[in-house]
Order: sequence, then structure tokens, then C-alpha cells
Amino acid sequence: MATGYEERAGRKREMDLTSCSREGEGREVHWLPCGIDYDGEAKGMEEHFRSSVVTTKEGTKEAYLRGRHLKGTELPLPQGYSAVVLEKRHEGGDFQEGSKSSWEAVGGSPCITYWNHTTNPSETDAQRRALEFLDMNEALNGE
Amino acid sequence: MVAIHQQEQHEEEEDVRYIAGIDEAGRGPVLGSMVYGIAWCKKSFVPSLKTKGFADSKQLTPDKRRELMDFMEKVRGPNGVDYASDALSARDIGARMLDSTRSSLNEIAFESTCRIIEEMLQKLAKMGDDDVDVHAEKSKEGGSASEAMAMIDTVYVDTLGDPRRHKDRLSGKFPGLSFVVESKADVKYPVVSAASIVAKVERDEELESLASSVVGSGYPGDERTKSWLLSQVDPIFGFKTHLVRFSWQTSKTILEESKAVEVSWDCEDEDNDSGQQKLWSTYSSNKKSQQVGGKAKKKRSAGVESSGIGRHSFFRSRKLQKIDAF
Repeated sequence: MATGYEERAGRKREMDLTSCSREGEGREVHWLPCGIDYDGEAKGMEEHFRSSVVTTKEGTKEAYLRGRHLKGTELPLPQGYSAVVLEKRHEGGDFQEGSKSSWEAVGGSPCITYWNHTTNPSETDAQRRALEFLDMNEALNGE
Repeated sequence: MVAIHQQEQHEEEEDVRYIAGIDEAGRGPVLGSMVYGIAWCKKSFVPSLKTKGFADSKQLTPDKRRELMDFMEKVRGPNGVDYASDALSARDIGARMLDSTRSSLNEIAFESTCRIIEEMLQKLAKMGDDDVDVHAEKSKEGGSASEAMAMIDTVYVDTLGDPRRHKDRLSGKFPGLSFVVESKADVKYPVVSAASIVAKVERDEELESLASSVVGSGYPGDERTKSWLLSQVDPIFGFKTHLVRFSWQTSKTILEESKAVEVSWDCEDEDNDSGQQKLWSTYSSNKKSQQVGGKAKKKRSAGVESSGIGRHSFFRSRKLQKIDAF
């Protein structure tokens, strides 16, 4: 499916997934235990964050952000699923009746790393458990 | 026969016990590591320390400190002076103080102090082992720490806080040792001065790359330190983690006053409100709420997160919710 389209409550949402198949972009997604009041490019990413990332003997990762010790791991996606990074195209006002919000995939198959503050990543992390919904969805809606 | 002879000699020397001194460098500054140093020597060596000029370490010039450090390196060993140190980086200090356990600097410092005492005891115990013959191997199991403690007459500790409390904690942890805890102990006891130099030299080596004319003393009240910190701010990431202690109030204030964007931590939200369901990173960029005062902490808008009421626990525990708009 190259594009997704849905209409509900008078609002149109569109997703353009045509660029999803572009492989090897090496896009990283970091799911952080904090909110950053910023939207845009983070120029200091390499110097301040990526350079602090180490992989432990157990295969998990550790990093520092704003002085906090983060512990994380890559989020494995179930087979048959892939992740996309969407960027919003700005058209019309947000969330208004009749407005159209459209999203475009920018680069395919990112590697998602989720981070906990202080605690080691574990099977019971909500980030990981959230994906269990996919199995349930499969059971309910699959063939 | 040889073994017995050594044993006798060991007994003869028993009145020549050790004294130790403990001091720190860099506890207060917002920059660099905090280093705890320990030095120990036989009581009979103390006059040599005095003659060499081990005194109030604050009065010593960097050159003099270097000279005294060189001296210690030269005479290092059981008959001269021996030493150990424990350094905690700015990054580790900040991370420990900001993590969910919220360790206090006192706790971190106490752990550091215990580590260097243990290191000294291990070294002294090992030294004792070398003297004792192989047949004694069995009996020394578990005994070496107390043997090492018996070799030490007194441990002198410099402290900034309440000396009595600190002494009680140390005695509780090392019942076999006798502690003297005083403020400005480095002025009074040359062996504490030696410990202070060990700590200070190690800390200064780390900060050598930073010219003090630029960064100032590193103490929070220093205007040069403050303006240097301000010049270092990255709007998203803040300071360079390995040098700056994020947990210091100075750091927090400068981040607030500077162009740095606000970062709000989930664990800190939990302190402030109870029971409300959170989607960790679905941070709302709702412009309206961003402008509530200078430091609006609650910025995750209700439009993004539901309270969780009426949502099945399967979804609640996975922090999943249905959204109508995106």
C-alpha cells in the first residue's frame, strides 16, 4: 500500500508512504523518557548525544542526555511489520473542520531505540508491551 | 626457620603503626570530577612529611603541590607514604543526583570515602600477607581486613559537614578503625595534607585543558564560571556532560536563563501529580500551553493524553490510547 487515506469526523488525513521502500537510510528514532520543547533539527546530536552512547555487555545501550543517565535498547518489531518516520505537510489549519492533514514518510525502516531513565530496559517496559497489541489485533482482525 | 624469624621481626615492629589521612578536592564546584584521596604512612614517617612542607593544602601553590606529589611518588611504599584515590566524574555525580533514587552528594561522597579506605586496607592486608609465611594462608581468610585495621592507629578525616555525624557513619562502617574527623584537618595533620594533594593534583590534571582564566574557579559563585557555562549552552542538549554537573543549581539556573529549550522528565512529572496516565513522549507542542509563565511544567495537553478512565487495562498498562486527530 503506497498511500493511506481515511476520512473521519469531517477531517481528512492522508499518508504518503511511497518513499518507505527506500532502504539503507540509517535513520534512527530515539524514544525518550522526556519531552523536549523543540521541533527541528538537533545539530548537537553527534557531539552531545551519540558520542555518549555505549553498548553494554548485555547488548543494551547507555547514554546521557541533559545530565540524565539513560538506559535503553533497540525495539524489535514483530515480523512482517516495519516502522516509518512521518513528516507532516502543512496544509491548512491543524485539526479544523474540513482541513486536511497529510503525512509523508521520510526514509524507510528506522531503527527504534527506546530509553528509560535510570532503569534497565526489560520485557515489562510499556514501550515493548505496546507492540503486543499487534498480536492481539492480528488475532481479532486477521484471517 | 626463615618464617619464624620474619614473624618475630613483625612483632617487634608492631608499635610502628600507620596513620592515614582523607581529604577531597572538587566537592563544591559545578565543573569537573570530585576526587577523594587517602594517604597513609608509619607514624615514624610523619616528621619527614612535616619537613617536606606538607601543610595547609589551600596555601600551597600548584608548583609546590606538584613537587610534594613527586616526592610521594618517589617514596611511595610501606616505609614511605602510600596513597589511593577515587574520582567521580561530573557526569556520574549529576546522573546519580538526578536519577530516580536522587542520591545526595553526601551519600555519593561517603561511598567514595569508603572505597578508598577499603583500598588502603586491601593494600595493607596484602603487605601483611607477604610477610607471613605460606602456612598461615588458611587462617588469614577473612582475617586480613581486621589484620589491616590493626595496623592502623588513627584515620584523620577532613570534613565540611558535621564532624560528629560523619565520624559515627565511618565508625559504623569500619568498627575496627579509630577516626578523628575535623574540619580543616589538612592544616593540622600532614598526612591529611598529603591526601589532599593526591586528590587536588588528580582533579587539576583533568581540568588542565580548561584555562582557569576562562572558566574561573569552577565554583558556582564565580562570575567567570557562570559566563563560561552560559557560552557552552547547546539549546537542546545543554552542557557537555563530561565536564558540567547538571545537578548543580547553577547549571539549572543557567539553562533556564539561556536560550536552552525546556526538557521535562517523566519521572519529575510523577512527583508533581498523582495517578494521571502519561504517554511518555507524545509531548504536546501545543503553543498555548508553552506560554504559561516562564516555566510551565505541565505542558502535555489533554488533547493528546486521556486520563485513562474507561480505557481497558490492557491498553492502559501498555500506554496505548485511541486518538482522533493527528
